[in-house]
Amino acid sequence: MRHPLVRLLVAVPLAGLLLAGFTAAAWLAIGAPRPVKAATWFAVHRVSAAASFTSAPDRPFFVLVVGNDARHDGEPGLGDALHVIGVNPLTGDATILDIPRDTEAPGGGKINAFQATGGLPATIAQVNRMMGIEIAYAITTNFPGFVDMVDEIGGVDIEVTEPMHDRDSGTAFDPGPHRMSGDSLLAFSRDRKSYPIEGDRQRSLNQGRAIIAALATLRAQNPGAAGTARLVAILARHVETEGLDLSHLYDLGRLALSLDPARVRNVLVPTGAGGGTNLAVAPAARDLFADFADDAILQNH
Amino acid sequence: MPVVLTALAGTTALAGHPAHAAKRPKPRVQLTAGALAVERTGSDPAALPDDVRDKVMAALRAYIRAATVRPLQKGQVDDAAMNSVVGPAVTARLSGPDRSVLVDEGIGRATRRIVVKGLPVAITGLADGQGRVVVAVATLDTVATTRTAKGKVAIRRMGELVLSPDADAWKITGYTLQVDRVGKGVPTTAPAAPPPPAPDPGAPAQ
Repeated sequence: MRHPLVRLLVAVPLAGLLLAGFTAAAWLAIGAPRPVKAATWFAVHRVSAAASFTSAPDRPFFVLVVGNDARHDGEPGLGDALHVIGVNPLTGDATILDIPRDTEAPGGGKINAFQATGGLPATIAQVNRMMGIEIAYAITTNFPGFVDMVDEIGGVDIEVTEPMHDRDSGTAFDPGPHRMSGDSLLAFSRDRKSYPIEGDRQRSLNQGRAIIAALATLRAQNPGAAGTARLVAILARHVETEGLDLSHLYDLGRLALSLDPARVRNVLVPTGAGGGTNLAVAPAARDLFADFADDAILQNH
Repeated sequence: MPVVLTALAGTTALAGHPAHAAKRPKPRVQLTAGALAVERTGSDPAALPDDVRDKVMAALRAYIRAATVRPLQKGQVDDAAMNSVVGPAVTARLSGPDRSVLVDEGIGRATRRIVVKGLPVAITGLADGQGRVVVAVATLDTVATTRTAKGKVAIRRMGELVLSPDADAWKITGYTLQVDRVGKGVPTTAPAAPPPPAPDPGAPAQ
């Protein structure tokens, strides 16, 4: 029989080993404790959380985007690209309604003429009457402003879905993905002659597609809050606004960049033959406008 | 034996005395401005003005004191201090699920010095056509360390804060933040947010 002290010296490590073995077995049997759900007795915890918030409207709102055809700053231009963007911040959905430029305005005549005679306020009033909405913000830019803006953000990635070759607008695009400069995207947005039947309607739809493509391109850059300041400064240098100061524009820019382009619908306002070369808003548009006006989402179209 | 008991009683009484708590070292917050930039819509300003930099940094330090230091000192958030450094919309968010990201509560009181160190803060201003900076974006990457009764605690908070001028100060009006808390006793669930403030009867109808 060995000395009791020796037995003790042997027994203690053995007991420790046995205890460690049981603990390991228990660990394997029941799984490792998960600190997030477990009590705090066991180990050092690591808890992570994240949140993001932008000060922006908390209810649906409508923005009018007008591309005017002025070639120089200060010139009145026809509102040839007319789009109402409805945003529902609560759901993250948005809808673009594209208005062909030749559409008859509620006040008579073509709707694009109101931009040349009364600027954004006059166009807003006509669109509000047409759609039964209240436009909160509006922006417009001319040809050089559009081109510079697109160039300064580094171009826009867009998928061309059919051949577009038109000398007047300057398109020379085969189907496929394109990174377009300002000049190219302007040509893409102006081309109606590549569409012999739908002409101006298809052009309006393409302009809506260009807006979504720009959103997707900018989101892909993952600009963050500071990068958004750069983008908003570029935008502000090239647009005129109504109902917007720069800090609002920044907030809306942050909100816009939070939208998933896949959740932005692009819908053409239905039109039929009107007086002369005008297009009349089709009767079916009434339901569309009502569907749009309540929450900026088209549930039934 | 009576001597020992008396000594123990005295020690116990001393431990609960406010003067003992007051001996804790003062918190240390080390946060400095880093790269500065301004995005202009007009021709001015050429650089981010010094007063904007200083006020933004003052707002960030006030935020860290209110969100991290005070809760670790007192065991709870001083909502009045928080509300003084954030805009109204963010104040409303403090009553919701973002609270656990914005403030550090439920960790317990610090028993050692609270030290907050941060990487240099990059500030980007957005200036309007008149050269006024109307929005500032500040990066935040800080680590707060201390020890509570349960052990060491470290809190890393990183992201971007959006600030806007409010009277003579700047307030936080937006954020993209991530917080990691490591240590014994770090709460594993978000503490319950206080109930939202009662509607202001004098406020205009929405």
